[in-house]
Formats: sequence, structure tokens, C-alpha cells
Amino acid sequence: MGLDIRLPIGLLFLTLGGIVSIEGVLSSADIYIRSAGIDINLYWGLCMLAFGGVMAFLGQRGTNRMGEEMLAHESKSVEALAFEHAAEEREDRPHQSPNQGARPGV
Amino acid sequence: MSLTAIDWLIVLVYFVFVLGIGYALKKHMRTTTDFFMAGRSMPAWVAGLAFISANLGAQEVMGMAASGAKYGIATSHFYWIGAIPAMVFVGLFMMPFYYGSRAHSVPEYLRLRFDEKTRAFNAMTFAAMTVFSSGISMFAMARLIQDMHLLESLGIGYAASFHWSIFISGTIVLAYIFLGGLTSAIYNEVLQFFLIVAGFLPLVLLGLHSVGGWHGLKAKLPAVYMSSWHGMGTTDGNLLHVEWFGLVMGLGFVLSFGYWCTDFLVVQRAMSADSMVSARRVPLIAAVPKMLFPALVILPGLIAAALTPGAIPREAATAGWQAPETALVQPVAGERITRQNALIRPLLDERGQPKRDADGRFIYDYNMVIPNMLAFYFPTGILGLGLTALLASFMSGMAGNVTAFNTVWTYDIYRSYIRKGETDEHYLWMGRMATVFGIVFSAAAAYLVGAFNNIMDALQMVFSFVNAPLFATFLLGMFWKRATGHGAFFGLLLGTFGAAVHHGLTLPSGSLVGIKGGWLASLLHLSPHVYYSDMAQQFWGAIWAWTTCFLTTVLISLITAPRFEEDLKGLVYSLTPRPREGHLSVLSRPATLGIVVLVLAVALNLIFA
Repeated sequence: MGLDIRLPIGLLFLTLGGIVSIEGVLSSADIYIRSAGIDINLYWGLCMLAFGGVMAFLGQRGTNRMGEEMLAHESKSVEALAFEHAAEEREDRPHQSPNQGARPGV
Repeated sequence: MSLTAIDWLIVLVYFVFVLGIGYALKKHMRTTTDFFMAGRSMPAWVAGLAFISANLGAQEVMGMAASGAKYGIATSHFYWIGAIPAMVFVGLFMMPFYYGSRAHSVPEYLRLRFDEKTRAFNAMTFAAMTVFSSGISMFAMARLIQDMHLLESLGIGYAASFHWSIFISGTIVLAYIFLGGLTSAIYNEVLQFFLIVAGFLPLVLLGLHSVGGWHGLKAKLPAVYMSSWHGMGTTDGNLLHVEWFGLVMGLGFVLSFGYWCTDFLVVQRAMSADSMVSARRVPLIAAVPKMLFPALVILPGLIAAALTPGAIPREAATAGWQAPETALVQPVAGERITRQNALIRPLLDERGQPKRDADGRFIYDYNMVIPNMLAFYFPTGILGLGLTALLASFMSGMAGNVTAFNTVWTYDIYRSYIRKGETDEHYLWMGRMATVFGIVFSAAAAYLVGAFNNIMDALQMVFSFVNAPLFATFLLGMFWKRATGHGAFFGLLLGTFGAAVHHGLTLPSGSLVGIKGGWLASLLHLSPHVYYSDMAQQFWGAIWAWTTCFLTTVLISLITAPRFEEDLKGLVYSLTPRPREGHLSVLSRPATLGIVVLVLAVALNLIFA
């Protein structure tokens, strides 16, 4: 709907991944006793950055494509749009034939 | 749980994004279709993740971990039996009717298929229940924030924490739904899904590491904890005290199908899909993470039980497992476990002393497993992430209920009975207003639940009465063209009534007559039928209610006039052409995905049997 959801997800994970990794780098080793000595902030932060990067990339590409589609949509003639819309409706609408009687064809 | 500025920053960033998404979508909310149905433009994967995320409230996350600690892997039945088959069924067999009928809601499908009074019954009961559910989510979140003393570092006391929590959660959810409608709710649910994984996956990994991996976990727990089908032949062979028939038919069929196939909260997300094929795929796509969630939510419970064997029920002891000398086991590496930071702690009474049962043993508070584990394993930084994941799961539950409410209110109650024939702009305005009063009523419900302890139990009881018969009505409606409106209405009525009667005539073992049941028996001077456990009572109650509804609907339908078949085209299986899938390759057909999902679910059942 004009906004590819992958973009905000990507940006959120880039931001959170950044915060958590920086905390992982700056924090002292003694807070990691609970996590068995593993610098979980740094490692998980980097994983989140990677995930965020991929999502943001896909999201940006998706948003661009949506923008192109909207421009193409606007430049079509009214008749062409009505024709397309009717074809789509026929795909989704249940069969409207005036068949009498039950035919268990399914 | 002590949080630092970094943790609060993470929570704040999340809130900013959630509101930002709502704001970015504001300009796209031009029609009621945009607002209530996300423009029917959602890609299948987006709607699929929203489907699962709307269902996954924090109560499920915390509740499943609690069940895992108390019952072991048998808790997975709630997923692999209690969800997957129903999700496959609704995707393959029911979405063609929900989506194809162009109904805006589940009650509207009932109006098209049956009649106005059936719709009214379903719309009113659903609207009330969904607002109360949202209120329960708000209450649970506020209570959790209080009990974790989260806001105390900001100078907010115990009592005030409750009010602030309700206010902030209510305002944020209200804002993003008011601005962006269902699309905003769906987008935020997808966001919340990824956050939940990001917050809980490291917890599971660290926890498993600390018990010595899967083998270490197995060595520390009784056999019955690690097997889901062990002892399911009889009621006393397993910890749930349910035998396989009650489990499969009560949970697996009636309750599970009753929820996944008829609850508008989840069906709404599938109805927002961009095409029929997408709509059918939505529940199937959702089934995949649903199958894998036990690893994320049940496993922490097992880990907590392994490190706190004092909390393992006595009856779980089996040959080959001896309860360790001490009630606490030390993790393989990491901080020492003490009474203060134990993963499962005893419930305390008003004087702060641990409560004890008849045998003098502690009564443990399993519900706090997840928050206790977050506080134990996570250092500041990732702690903020874990907390945000928990808050996100509460809020996605609330938002799901509120969008379902504003849609059912506007289309099925307001537009049908109060003001017909108004403009689209008017109904869009009404939808926004409904969001406002939906949140206000939820907050009121949250305070009510907080004031009277038994209300939550009473509400859950009422929900189960209403849900149990529903699937019978839909099953007959979609697959039997002879079912009539009179049949459906009285079937629902009697089925709900039957559930209440069953509750009144039965009692779980060890409970007193009252909210747990038996009230009708005592009124009639009969002795109630005793079930081994609450769950057994609930599952069998569901079976009775469903059967009552089914039989009543069939009998009354046969003695009332049928509908003309032309009117039922697209609403009943035998009068609807099969969805056109010839142009799709075999691999991309929904049926193929459905089969794959079922095979995986069976495999998981066998692996962990």
C-alpha cells in the first residue's frame, strides 16, 4: 500500500542492531557472566544488522517498484483501467451462471 | 528487572517506529476498504505473518513457557494438534467462502449464508468478547510491568505503574490504528513477529547452552517431560490428565477449529489478502512459524524446570529420574543460581512468605518463567530487546482485537442496525470512532479485571462457552446446503447453553463448586461428574457443546424451509466452482503447501513423541 513493509522492518533492525552492537563493544566483560562469557550484545547485534540490511534493501526496491507501478497506473487511459478491473473481478468473483438445480460438480 | 538508559532507548525506538508506520499509512486510508480491509491488497506472506502475530499475545508466550515448565513437551499439543490441522483446513476449505463471498467480516458471511439473527448473535457476542480480550491483554501487560518493577527506576511507584502502563499501551495502539487502520495493524504485527523472534531466540540459545544442550536438558528432566504422547492412553498416565480422545477431539477438533476457522481476529488478516490464491495461502504460510514456535516458547519452560527441579511436580518422577538433592541446579557456565534469581520462584503470600500446599511443598509461580529468564540471561542492551519483544507481543494482541472490533461494530452492528445507507466517508469516520471507544472499553475491562480477581476466570469460561459450538455452525453452513438460518441460530444458542450446562454439572478433581463448575449439579442436588483436570473438563465440555449445536442445527434445518440454491452460490461447497488453479504449477498450489505443512506437523509429533 505505497509502503513496502520490509523497509521499516529493515530500518528498525538496523537501528536496534546498531544500538546493541555498540553496547556490545563498549560494555565491560563482567556483565557477560550470565551469558556464559559470550558477548551476546555484539554477536546478536551484528546478526540484527545483517538482517536489517537485507530487509531494508528489499524494502527499498519494493517501494521503488510500487512507485513505478503507481505512475504506470496513472498514465493508463480510463477505458484500459476499467477493462483490467473487470478482468480481475471475474477472476475472484464466484461463478454467477443461472444454473438451476444442484450440480455437485465438485 | 533493572533497566539502563540503553534498554529504555530500545523500547523508545520501537514505539517511534510503530507510530511512524501508522503515520506513513495515514494518507492511504481513503475508503472503508482501505481502513477495514487493508485495501484487500496484502501479499500472502505479510498477511500470513500478521495472522500468526495477532494470535500470539504475550499471554501465549508466557503461558506456554509456564506450561512447558509444568507439563513438559506435551504442551506442544496446543500447537501441533491444537492449531496446525485447523489452520490447514481454514486455508484450503474455508477461505474460498470467506474471500469469495466478498463479506467484510465473519458475521457478514453468516448473514449471507443464513439470516440476520444468526449474524446478530455472532456479531454481538464476538464484539463483546473481543473487547474483553483486549482488556485482558492490557491488564496482563500492566500487571507484568508492575510485578517486574520496571518503572521504578523512573520514579513511578507500584500502583502508578498500572495506570501508566494502561495509558501508554492504549494510546500507542489507538494512535497507530486510528491513523492507518488494518494496514497499520498488519504491518506492525509483522514487525512484532520479527521482534519476538529477535528477542527470544537468543534466550533459547543461551538457556540451552547453560543446561548442556539438548542432551544435557534430557538428562536433567524426567522422561515424561520430554515426550508428548507418553501415557496418553489414560488420564492418569500423563501430566495433562487427558486421554488422547479428549485431547484430539476436544482440543484438536472443536476448540482449535472453533478458534482458527471462525474467529474474526485471525480470519480478518486472511480476508485482507490481494487475491483468492493469496488468501488461501495465508493460514498455510502462518502454520510454518506456528509449528516452530514451541522451540521459542516451550523450550524456555523446559530449561527453567531443568535448573529448578524443585518445581517439577512430584508425579512426573519416573523410573530413571531422581529429583536432585537441591531444589536448584547450577548452569553449566554463567551466573550462579540462588533463591533470589531462580528461574521458577514460589508464590508469596501477603506477608512475603512462600505459600505452601497441603504437603508443605512450595507452590510455584510458573507464569514468570519468561521474565525471570530475561532478567537472568540477558545483560543490558539485549535485555531492552527482550523486554521490547514481550511488550510487542502484548500490543499485537491488543491491536488485533481492536481492529476486529472496529470492523464488526461498523459493518455488522452500526451499518446494519443503527444507521444504514450512509456515505463511505461516514462509515470510515465511524470506524475511527469505534477504535477510540474500543480502546476505552478495553481499558475499562482491564480495570475491572484488576479489581475483581475472578473476573478473568469467568471471562475465559464465557469465551469457551461461546466458541465451542461455533465451528459446527460454520461446518454445516459451508458444506451442507440444507442448513437453514433457523437451524443455525438455535444451534448456536443451544450449543452455547449446552456448554454452560456441562460446566454446571461437572467439576475438575480437587476443585470447589463455583467458578470451576458444579453449580447446576449442586442446585439440583446431584453430585457433579468429576474430571481429572481443568483441561479435561474444558475439552469434554467443548465436545458436548459442539455436538449439541451440530444436532440441533441439523434437526431444525430439516424442519424449516431451505434457501433457494441460486442464493447460496459461492457460499456452500457443493454450489461453488472449485477455485481456478490450472494456471498455477503444482508446487505453487495451496493444496500442496497444505500437504507439506501437515506432513511436517506429523513428523514433529513423531520426533517428540
